[in-house]
Amino acid sequence: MIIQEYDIIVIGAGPSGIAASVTSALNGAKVLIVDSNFDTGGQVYKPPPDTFQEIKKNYSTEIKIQKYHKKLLEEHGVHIALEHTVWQVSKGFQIYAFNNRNKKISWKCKTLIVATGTYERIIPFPGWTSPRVIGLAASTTLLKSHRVLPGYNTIVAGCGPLLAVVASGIIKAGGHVKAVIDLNGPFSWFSSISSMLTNPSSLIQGIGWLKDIIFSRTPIYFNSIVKEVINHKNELEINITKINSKGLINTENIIKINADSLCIGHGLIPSLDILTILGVKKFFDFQSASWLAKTDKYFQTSVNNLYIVGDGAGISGAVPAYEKGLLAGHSASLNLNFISHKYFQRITKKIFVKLKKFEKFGKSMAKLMTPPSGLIQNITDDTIICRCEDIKRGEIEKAIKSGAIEINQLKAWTRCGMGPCQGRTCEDTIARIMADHVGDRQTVGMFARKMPIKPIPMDCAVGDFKYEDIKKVEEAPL
Amino acid sequence: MSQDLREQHKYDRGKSVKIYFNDEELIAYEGENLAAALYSSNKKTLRYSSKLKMPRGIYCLIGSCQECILLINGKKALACLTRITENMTIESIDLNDNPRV
Repeated sequence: MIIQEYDIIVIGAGPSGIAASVTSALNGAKVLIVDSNFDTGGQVYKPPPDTFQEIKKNYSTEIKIQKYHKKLLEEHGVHIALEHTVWQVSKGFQIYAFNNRNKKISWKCKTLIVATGTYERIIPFPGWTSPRVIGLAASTTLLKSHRVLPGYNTIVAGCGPLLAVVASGIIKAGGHVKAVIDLNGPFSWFSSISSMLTNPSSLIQGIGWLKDIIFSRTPIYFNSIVKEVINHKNELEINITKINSKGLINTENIIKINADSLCIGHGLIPSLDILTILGVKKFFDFQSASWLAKTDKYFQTSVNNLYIVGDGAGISGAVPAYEKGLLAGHSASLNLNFISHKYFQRITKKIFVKLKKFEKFGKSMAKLMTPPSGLIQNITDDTIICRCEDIKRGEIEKAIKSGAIEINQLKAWTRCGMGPCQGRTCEDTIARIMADHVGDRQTVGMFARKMPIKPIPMDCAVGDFKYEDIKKVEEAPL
Repeated sequence: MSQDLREQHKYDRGKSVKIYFNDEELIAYEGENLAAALYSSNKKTLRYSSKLKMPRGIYCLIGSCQECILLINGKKALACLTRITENMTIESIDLNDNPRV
């Protein structure tokens, strides 16, 4: 296996990863950017496939940004490895990846910048594993990149600004939104508009979303929750009920609506898989109800020359993500002596001003995405929590009663989080359930991450090395 | 509902090709995302869960949840990270019947 070496490798080609790699390359570093997708842009600026031609050339702002970012990468000589899934990262930074043709590859670098973004949080309910129940963020991908409707009669549910984005996207693409089910009250929609006031371009965008929803006379159910989904042959039966301010179901009344799909999401969780493998220090952030890496103000983690940028460093959206990437790119360049301290100070000062301004808006949006803590108490014992291993809440409760207080202990007892997704889908829910019993998320902890981070075909993991190449561990003294 | 869920009138999707999902012939577009193509052709159930054998379909679409794992041209891969090629064969798999990787 040939190992190529770089000064800096960036994992994730979203806005933050692109900013970090372009900055580093501009400062003189040899840079590689890796992504599992077919094109650059990350989830937020994910374009339609290059085989699609827009009939009336009328690029959206997102596509314009995506094209501009890609041009920046190419112009500054950043090496781009698309369609490569990273499955292992070892200390001193050796990265192992495979591509869609099951080809394996490995790279080495002095500095590693992780820009792997987030994945979606969905608090389970009976029937959530049914086909046609898909994530809100997944729905945005389906709509804007794949140009496919989630359904003709769709219900959009959950919390945060993605509700309006998805509902408006469906209407624009020619679908029908049967209802919007919002965990929060109407007040949260007003407060999101008022925080948009700090950012005029997002205000116009936000008003556009609301206009689509209001003009189509879509019913909005506030302070409401999807209690259960029943999967009929070609349709979903969706039961909706009211919740109180803590998120608890407090009524027997149920409204039944039939739809052919349900788009639901309860916010985003920073992806810390690679950082956890490399042993960075983390803390539990109460405001966003998620674990974050401890970093300095340039987003360098507790491990030297390892950075986390973008929403993975704390959710605040695509615009601040770019600024975070710039800061990390300059800091990494300074550490590798590509730029002077004086230049570094001067340039980062300006970026901090912008970051502070943009983050204010992003953080208020992120706050709306955080679901109320009481929501977890509505999950019945018969609801599946771990989708990979089909583990229900009842089994988790039994393990807690038997004395499991730490999440990895519970994993060993129940197989929760042991399946192919490596616990990414169920970890947050399990930790919330456990925290209700043991008091706090710090005691519960996080799933240990082991390689492979993503499941890989066996022939990708097997290397063509000689026996002499295997590093022998020194024997322990007698 | 058997209507195609692909958005109309905005994009020319390019060359249409035949693909085979569990031996059924479907029409898709070269270069299109496989998960999206199956979903829009009303193939909502991609496989059954390993223990309780419950139907599962696309869910996260970003290569995280592993729900859309299929046997694509004889190799295990995620539909959401695969693009359509001509005459692609796609089969549902039971993860318990196949050695875990």
